[in-house]
Amino acid sequence: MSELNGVIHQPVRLRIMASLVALDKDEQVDFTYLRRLLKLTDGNLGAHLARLEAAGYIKIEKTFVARKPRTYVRATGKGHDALHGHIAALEQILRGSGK
Amino acid sequence: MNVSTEEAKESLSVVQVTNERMHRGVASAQARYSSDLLVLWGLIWLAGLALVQFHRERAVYILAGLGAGALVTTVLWIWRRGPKQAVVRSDASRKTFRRVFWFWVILNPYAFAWILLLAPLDALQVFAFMCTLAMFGFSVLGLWFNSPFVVVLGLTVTAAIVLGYLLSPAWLYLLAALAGGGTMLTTGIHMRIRWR
Repeated sequence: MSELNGVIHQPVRLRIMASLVALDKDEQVDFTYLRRLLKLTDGNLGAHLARLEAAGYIKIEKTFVARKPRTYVRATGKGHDALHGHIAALEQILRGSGK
Repeated sequence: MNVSTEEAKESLSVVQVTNERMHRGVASAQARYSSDLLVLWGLIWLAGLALVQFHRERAVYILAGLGAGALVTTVLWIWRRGPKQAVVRSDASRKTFRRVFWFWVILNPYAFAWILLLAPLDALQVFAFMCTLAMFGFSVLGLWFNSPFVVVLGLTVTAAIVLGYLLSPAWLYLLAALAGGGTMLTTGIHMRIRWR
C-alpha cells in the first residue's frame, strides 16, 4: 500500500517533481526554463530544489555553457519512485471515497 | 498525514497539468531550435540557387560559396546559439548529435569520391547529384528522428529534382531553389508559428 509523501505533497514541490518526471530519466532541464514554466522566483525555486535534493529526489548540476554559468536539474530514480508512490497514494484516497 | 478527497483530486490534477505543460514546453523549445536551422538553410538554398539560375556562368563559384556559407553558418549557429537554446540536455541527445554530425561529415567525401570517379560530369549533373544527396541525408534524418514529414519532404524534393533534370534542365536551378529552399523555409516558419 502506497503512502503519502510529506516532502512531495507541498504544492510547489509537487509541481517541480511532476515537471521533472515528465522528462526521460537521463534528461536534465535548465533552471531558468523550469523557473519560467512554473512561474516561480529564483529564490523560491532554489529553496524548494534544495529541499528535494536533500531528500535525494533530484540532482542539481552547475556547469558552464558558452562561458556562462548554467544550472541543470533532473529527477533521480528515487525521485521518480517517490512521486509515483505519492500519486498511487492519492489515487487510493480517491478510490476509497468512491470518486 | 491527512488529505481530503478534494485535496487529493486537486493534487492529481496539478500533476497531470504540470506534466503536460513540461512535455509541450520541451517539444516547443525543440521545434524552435530546429525551425531556426530550417529557416537558415531554406534562405541560403533559395537565394543561392535562384542566383545561379540567372548567373549560370558563375555557377561553380556561387555553389562553392553556397556550400561553404551553409556549413560555416550552421557550425557557428550550433556553436554560439544551439547550447543556449537547449532547455533540456541528456547523454542520449549528445550522442545523437555527434552521430548526426559524423553522418554529414562522412556523406561529403562519399559525394566527392563519386563525382571524381564519374568525371567528366557537367555542372548540371553535379548539381542534381548534390541536391538529391542532400535530400537523401534529410530523409535519413527524418527516419532517425521518427519524423515522417521530413522523410516525405526529402523524397518529394528528390522526385522534383529528378523530374526537373529529365524534363526541364534549363530551369533546374530555379526549380531546386523553390522546391528545396521554399519547402525548408515554409516548414521552418510554419514550425515557429505552430509552436509559438
